[in-house]
Amino acid sequence: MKTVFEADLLIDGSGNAAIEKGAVLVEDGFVVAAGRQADIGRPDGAYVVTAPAGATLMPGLIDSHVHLAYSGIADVKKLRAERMDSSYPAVALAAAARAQLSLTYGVTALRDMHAPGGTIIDLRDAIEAGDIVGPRLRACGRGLTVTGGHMDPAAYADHTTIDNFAHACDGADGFRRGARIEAKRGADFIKINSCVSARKVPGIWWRPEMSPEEIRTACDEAHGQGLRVASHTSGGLPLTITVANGVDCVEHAHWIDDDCIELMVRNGTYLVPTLLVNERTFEMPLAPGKSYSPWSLASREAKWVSLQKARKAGIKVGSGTDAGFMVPHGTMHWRELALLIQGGYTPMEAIVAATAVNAEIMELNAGILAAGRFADMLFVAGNPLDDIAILGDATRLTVFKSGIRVAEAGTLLSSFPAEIAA
Amino acid sequence: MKLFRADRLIDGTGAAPIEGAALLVDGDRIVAVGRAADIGVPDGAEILDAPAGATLMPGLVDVHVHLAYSGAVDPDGFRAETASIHYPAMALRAARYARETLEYGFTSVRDMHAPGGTIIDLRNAIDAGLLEGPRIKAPGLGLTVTGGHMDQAGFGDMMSFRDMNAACDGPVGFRKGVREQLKRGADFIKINPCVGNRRDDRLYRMEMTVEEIRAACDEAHEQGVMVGAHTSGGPPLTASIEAGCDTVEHAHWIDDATLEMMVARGTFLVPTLAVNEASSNYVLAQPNASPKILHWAAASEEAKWERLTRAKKLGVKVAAGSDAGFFLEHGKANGREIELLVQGGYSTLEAIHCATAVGADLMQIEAGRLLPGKLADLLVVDGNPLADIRILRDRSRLTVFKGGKLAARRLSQHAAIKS
Repeated sequence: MKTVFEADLLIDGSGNAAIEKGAVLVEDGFVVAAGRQADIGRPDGAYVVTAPAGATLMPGLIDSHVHLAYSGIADVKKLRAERMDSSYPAVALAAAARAQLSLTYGVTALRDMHAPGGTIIDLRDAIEAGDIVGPRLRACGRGLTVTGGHMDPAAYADHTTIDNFAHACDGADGFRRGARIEAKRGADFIKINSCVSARKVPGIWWRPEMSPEEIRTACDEAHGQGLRVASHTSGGLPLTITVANGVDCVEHAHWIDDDCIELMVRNGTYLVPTLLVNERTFEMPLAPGKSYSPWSLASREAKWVSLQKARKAGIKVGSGTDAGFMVPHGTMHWRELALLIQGGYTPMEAIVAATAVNAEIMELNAGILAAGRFADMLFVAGNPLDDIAILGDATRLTVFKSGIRVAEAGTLLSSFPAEIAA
Repeated sequence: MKLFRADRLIDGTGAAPIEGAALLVDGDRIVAVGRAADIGVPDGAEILDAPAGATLMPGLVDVHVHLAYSGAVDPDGFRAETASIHYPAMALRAARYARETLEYGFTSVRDMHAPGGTIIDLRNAIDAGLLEGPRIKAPGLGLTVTGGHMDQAGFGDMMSFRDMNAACDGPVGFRKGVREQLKRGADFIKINPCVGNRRDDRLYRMEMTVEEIRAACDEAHEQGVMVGAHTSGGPPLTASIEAGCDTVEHAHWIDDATLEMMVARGTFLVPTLAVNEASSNYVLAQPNASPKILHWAAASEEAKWERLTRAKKLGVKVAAGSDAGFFLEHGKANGREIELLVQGGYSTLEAIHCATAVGADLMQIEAGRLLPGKLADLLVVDGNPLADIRILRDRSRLTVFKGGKLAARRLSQHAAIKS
């Protein structure tokens, strides 16, 4: 069945100028053609879906850094309780609801950056199988980390063990095996934690956590299996070493040296600067007598400098919120785009970061309304190029996944896809 | 407030339908039921007029399902699925089955065993409003003796499973088993005291000792929950009831004295006619079925009708439970049990009573009857199920409300695109 979607404005996600009176021709869930209504026409027998006057047709948004297993609760003790009290089936079910909420906010694909118990891998499969309506997911399973590292927190007592929770690896062989275990469980890519923040010496805000050999081996194994590697990073020399040893996408990366920028350009390394989660620190109420840490203040400034350098050098920057940590799912997604704009990106460039670039990072056949790609699209009441904040108003959004209307005005049309597809 | 009006209302109590009826809902509760002329239109009420000829009735209740399982009939396929599906995946798939069950008009289901706490977690997710589904009561894992009905032999020595079975032995073992399931969040306890024998022609035998049954029931009752029992029949069934089981499932062979005892004690019978039909059909279609299995299938097919006739005559509380998840697809198949109750001698009104009020009583939920104060779990049925019970299985005729909220939303693909 052919369907023509028409709107007063078409943004195709490629970065090309918006098209007045645009149209997208969709057949069997895929885009056949996109362009001017005059060129696309209305093929015989096609359904025509016309957006209300003044609306924009654009690709579904993508968030390339989320943690669906976590609620976004900011209180560390509550976060720990949440993690300890929810059995993995319960985590998967709650994650399904968060994924659905994200979908109502126009987010049609998500990259999950660590979850316990294979929960998001299973959710990805359940969505693909049609058990649950949700965005397209890419999941890494558990993030690989050194013993006691960023994703193996020392917070639990000696007598406490938690199954399938953290994935601590040590040594090159340990990380190779770690990558194999996550790949076996069904990971789409491998997440490592190569470089973390340091707070002891002012000005040295980073330190390596994995050895170069560990990073290289994890990357070799992942690449050998056809999987990409993303890494939690902070900055400085350990970040450069991370990039030099084969990581495909660096997350956070507040401090990027000039030689690292050159290396990223040469290697085609992606950057996901997660601006929002960094800013969120300053939106949380401070406990009486407490002040923001020097690290927080320094990273807050540095991230803008690094972003400018990356943009100037032509590094591909993806839009990722870190939803699940201090950032709620769905509702604040638009703010990462707003922060990219604050950091010097044009609204169109910010949209490209959240569509085409993210799709490229995730190796997802979406993100651009071009022939052969999934017809994951939004009708937006208004023009997001004039005011990016309208993307955060779910009542303005109609969400299509594979050309099928799945959410409208903030409401999921069905949580049961077979109903829609029937 | 919502005012539902329809040509006909079946309240689930077994009373004759009300013609020209209205039902008033405030929030999730029913506040008034009666003739539309008597109820009138309260100020500000949203009016929901059913189409001509439609029937208002309570949401259906299926007191015997297995949401963790697909209904796959091939035993090897079933076992492979058991060993291969991660528990988070099982919970997500169960969410779909729950949703489908709801869309077929079942606003409450009682799960009868699931691995890994999956259905307890699903119940919580639905209760929290994270996902849409029926009200669920879940026992966690069914308790069974080592090698018993729910700890079946067959997997190799090298296989081990976590949280997949709850094998208990001895009264202390069962008492601990009850405590473990309640700690995990069970609403009631499932035990397997009495089975058909696998090794000879006996149609029933004790699998748990009387002391074990009593220990499980005592602990469950002490903690304030009921006990549901997988049973086959005969003296072991009688002993199970005497030892404290509150509901007996399957229970093909029951003598009059036991039925009278069930009436006196208020024990529920869940005859699971639908799974019996499906399993018998499956067995008969197998070219290599053993004489023993054929004998059991034939004997149970015969006994189940004869027993049902006497149970009805003596006034035993019979609830509709399909066993969906075994041999039967969730959603589509649950309603078969209601049709079979009619085939077994119940009037259509009585069968609806079994699948609404009796089921709700068994599950101890304030639903199943369209009476003031009850939860507004209800169906608008396009047509009259008293004239043709089969229309209850036609999803296109059902509009489902759970707690006063429209639960099922159907969209054709064209509607999904065009709005």
